[in-house]
Amino acid sequence: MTRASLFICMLALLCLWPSGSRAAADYTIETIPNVRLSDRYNHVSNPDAIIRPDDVARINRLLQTVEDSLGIEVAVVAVESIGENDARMFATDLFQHWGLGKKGEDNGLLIQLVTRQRAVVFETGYGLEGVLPDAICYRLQQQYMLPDFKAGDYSRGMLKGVGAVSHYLMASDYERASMVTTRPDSGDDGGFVGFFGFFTSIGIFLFIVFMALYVQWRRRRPRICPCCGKKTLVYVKQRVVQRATYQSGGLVEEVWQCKNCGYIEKKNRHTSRLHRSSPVIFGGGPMMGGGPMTGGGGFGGFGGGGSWGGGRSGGGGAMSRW
Amino acid sequence: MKHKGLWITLIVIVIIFVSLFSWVKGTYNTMVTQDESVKTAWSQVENQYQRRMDLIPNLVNTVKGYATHEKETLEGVISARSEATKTTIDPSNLDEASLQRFQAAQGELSSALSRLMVVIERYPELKANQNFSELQAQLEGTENRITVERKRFNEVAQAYNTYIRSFPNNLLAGMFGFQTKAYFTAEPGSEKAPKVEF
Repeated sequence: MTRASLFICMLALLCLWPSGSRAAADYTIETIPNVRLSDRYNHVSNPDAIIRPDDVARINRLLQTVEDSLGIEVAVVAVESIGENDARMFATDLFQHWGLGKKGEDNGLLIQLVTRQRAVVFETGYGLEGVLPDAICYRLQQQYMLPDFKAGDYSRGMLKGVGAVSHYLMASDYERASMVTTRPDSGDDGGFVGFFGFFTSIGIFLFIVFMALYVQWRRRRPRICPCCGKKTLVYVKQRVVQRATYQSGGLVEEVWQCKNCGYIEKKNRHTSRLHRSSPVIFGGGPMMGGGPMTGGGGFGGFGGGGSWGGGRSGGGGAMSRW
Repeated sequence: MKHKGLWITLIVIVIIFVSLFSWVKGTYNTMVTQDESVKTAWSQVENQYQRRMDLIPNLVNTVKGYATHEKETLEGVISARSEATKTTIDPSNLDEASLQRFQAAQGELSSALSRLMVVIERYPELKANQNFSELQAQLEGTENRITVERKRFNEVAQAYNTYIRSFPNNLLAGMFGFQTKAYFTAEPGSEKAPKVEF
């Protein structure tokens, strides 16, 4: 009995073994390395070393030129397998996951090669659909990439394809970037929150002003004169006896005078000591200033990591198989 | 000191009023915003379906030149297209029934297209035509766009539906007449993009 179950166990293990080892090489959108995060000049995710290092360097130079002059963010991904996933939908999801292209301009392009599926996909962002229509994507794939892919030289085919794409983009009438970058940074959303916040803060501000005025008024409203008994003792002026410092509180002398009988009363009032932060209610503490964390956008530091700009794609582009 | 009670009552009333107002305002405006984003998502879906319909005359003309014996299939595509053109939806009224009708009409066109693509396999010289293969690539791209935009529409509609149906927002939604939106459902025929590789 135990021997039989052991046998079954062994059999099950044997069956599982090959599929398990294969699954490790199947990339998902999370496991494909986003090389841009560690090096913002790196456009090529090449975890299976399908593209030769010197070609990677050339591709990076081409794509950096495109990005510097047009602002278009291009990523190249070359993997062996993505499992049973549809290459086209995978590209759309990966594009979305990384957020290729500048936010609001959506000018990203993903070039994805999956060798085991024998498929190459161009995925264009919303903003590139006009410059790089599906038919052009398809034509570039057919003319420049497929001959070498069919011959099994993926590295060369990819270099030629990227060369053709960057050539096409540079020759296109795509607006030169960085001259006028009007970025509608999710205007509707921020506008809503901003407006609401504005309203609330106005309300709070008015409330505080109102309270302050009320307190002031309460303190300085006419009082009953101890001399003639009428409610005509009014506040006249105040004199600072001792200035408040950071170490100790101050002393203020208030002068009240009765309008009826001329009686003068002097009252001493203590003031609280000064604090290091500004005593004004809305004064900016150290919280207000922007810290060293500036937003992403792919322009991080020099030679350090970056990220893609957060663009979106609507599933445009083309796929070729061979 | 009889003013004191008056003041406190006044302040409490003001606070209650302000907080009630800000709640209604916030909820209502969120509903409006989400309603608008559902409409935007819908217009994207419609755009992509329109793009597909715009491609069809060109495709039919190209195929006609080669596949002379496939009159029936081509006519099927044309009639399905005109049927789909007629079926439009008012974006402010995206209920179950009208979306179903829209989907059915577009699904009809999808299956007519896939029949055409099957037929085309018999004409190697047509497949070798560059104009045709690029049209086909455009059509595939459009099918992919439709899938993407439908998925996004469903996501946005789901966020909207969840918002207006959860308590206490549902009270306001009922008061101001916000209604739930229908989803795209996977349907045999419309779900399938015309397959080209066989």
